[in-house]
Amino acid sequence: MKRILILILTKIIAFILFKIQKNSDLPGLIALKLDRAIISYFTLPQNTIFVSGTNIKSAVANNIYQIYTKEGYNVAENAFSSNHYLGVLTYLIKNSNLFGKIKPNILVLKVDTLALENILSKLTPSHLIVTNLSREQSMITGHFEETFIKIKNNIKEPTKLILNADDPLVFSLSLHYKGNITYFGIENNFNNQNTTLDYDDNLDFLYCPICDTKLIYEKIFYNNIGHYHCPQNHYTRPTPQYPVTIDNQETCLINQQKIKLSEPVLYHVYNLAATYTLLKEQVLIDNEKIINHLNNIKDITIEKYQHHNKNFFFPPTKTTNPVSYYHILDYISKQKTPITLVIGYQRLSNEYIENDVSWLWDVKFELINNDYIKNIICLEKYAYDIALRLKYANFNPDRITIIKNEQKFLKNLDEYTSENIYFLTCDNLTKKFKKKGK
Amino acid sequence: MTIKIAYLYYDLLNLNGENGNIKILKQQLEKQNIKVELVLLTTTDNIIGESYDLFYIGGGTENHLRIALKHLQKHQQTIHQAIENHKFFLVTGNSLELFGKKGIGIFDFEEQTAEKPFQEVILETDFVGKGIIGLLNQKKDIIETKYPFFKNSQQGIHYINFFAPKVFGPIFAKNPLFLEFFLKQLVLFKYPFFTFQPIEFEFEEMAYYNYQKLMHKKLVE
Repeated sequence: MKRILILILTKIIAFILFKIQKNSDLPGLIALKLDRAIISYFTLPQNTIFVSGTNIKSAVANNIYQIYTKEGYNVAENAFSSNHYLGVLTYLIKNSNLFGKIKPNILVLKVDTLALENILSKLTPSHLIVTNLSREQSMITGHFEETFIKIKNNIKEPTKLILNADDPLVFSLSLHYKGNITYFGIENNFNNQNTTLDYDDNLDFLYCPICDTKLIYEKIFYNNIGHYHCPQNHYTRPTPQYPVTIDNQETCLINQQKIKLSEPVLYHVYNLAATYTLLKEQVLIDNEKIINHLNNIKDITIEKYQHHNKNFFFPPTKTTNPVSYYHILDYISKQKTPITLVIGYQRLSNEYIENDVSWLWDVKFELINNDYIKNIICLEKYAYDIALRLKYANFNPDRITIIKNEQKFLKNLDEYTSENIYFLTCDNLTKKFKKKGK
Repeated sequence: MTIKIAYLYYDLLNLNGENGNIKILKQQLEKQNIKVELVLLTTTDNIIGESYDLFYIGGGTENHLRIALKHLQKHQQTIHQAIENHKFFLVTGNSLELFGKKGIGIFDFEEQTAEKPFQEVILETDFVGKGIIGLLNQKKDIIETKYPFFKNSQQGIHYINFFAPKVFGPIFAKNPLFLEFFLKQLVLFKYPFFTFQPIEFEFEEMAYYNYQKLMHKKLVE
């Protein structure tokens, strides 16, 4: 009875917040204050997919949601809620009846890796996709090995795991899980295969988890992601169920069928591989229909706006996340038009007050040091730290401009920028620039 | 003129942007027209102490420290001798543990587990005029050491040319004065009559002062 009352109260709060157009995790926070274990009250649909990992979880979750929706299923996804614990709890409150039963038949939840421990300890999805586990800033919130241990300790049957075979740390979940596991992965990169690792490649996990011998790589796609094996034969990259082969810049092959690529970037190919594998494993849609849908996926959602005579581009970077930057910088490095890059942050985290920008040194800015990048504007609080990092990525200081104030930058746009401006900025700044662009 | 740097366990101990220390030191030495030989060493390699001017080790995960320690134990003598022979070491973050009682036992410091969070700090030293900025892991606190790195904290060791501030992150990026001090010591030890060109800090100093301001604001908040 107490939990029904909590749901009534928090649903009313959620309704009021909706009416005043405020997106907040307050309903979840209040529910948690009143009952620490409230999340276990919810009954998930038979088909519930959790998507987690350091990167691309939003894109994968969104694709699964879109495809099921187009096929006429009653499906829900936490696209506009936070993927942290309180955000997920708020989302469940909004989408359940008073008995905690989730209304739609299919639920797709993107879940932050840090929240996964507490959520998995109380809820059991039918499927859990883990895209990758790699370094992020927060020494405050823990490193990838700690995240791995939290996931490992909380996964339980009958959840079916869908894991990235190319990430040796993600694959090592298989050493601790007796349930069903399916792998996704890719066979090649767009360009020549790399087989050497340099010291600045964010080498997160390179040793066999069974015998501590250094893994040997046959192929490296980026950082420590690729095809690997233990020289003592204890640990070999598993063969994906539906391997993806990149044909050229425009197409790839999945399960012997051609898929059109919206952009020639690995981020997109991994997204296709994870989405396809999940849809095949759930067996709700025919193969032919899945292929048709994948052919129309456009998941490098770089929003574009016009402001006077300038094009504003907003790639979906996650501040403090070097792999997210890797994918976006790789994308920008392939553009063949003059570009001004704007990098700036007013706040590094919504959860913590921290000023440490050590993570900038794990971002490979060297990738974009080409002639198309005309200049880089370093904005706001951490402008000098960004400029410093760029200097050691061998950008000539003449190409770096420091502007401490975003208003000054906007007022003098013509002076500072070329026609195409890419913004790698924190959420707060991005919102302000998007408003201008509209 | 050449400075030879061994980046020890580059594939294990490299968390939190600490690769930056190598990038910065290498570029700054090259600007002084000193050739840099960077050698990446790991668990499959032999360590020959006399071959290098500087050994660098970054911070890492607990599991990676364990793997590195297994290898380092086989080279305890070499490393100990190199330290006593005035070779330069820069050890950042939690890798100092490798050298303590629970590591290869070169230093006799005591640690205790403390469930305290990471903290941004500015700590004073005897050798640099301004405080050293860094991110301190307080999960394991050093409670006593004979050779403290900092004046007002036990969290680090400085012994002959062994520099191990227990702070994470690219310490050279955050602390231009420490970079200048370290670079000069390293070069002068090998080439005592070297004449330095002025070291250019276009952005470093402003980043340092800005960080101090932000820290002050954070403390006030």
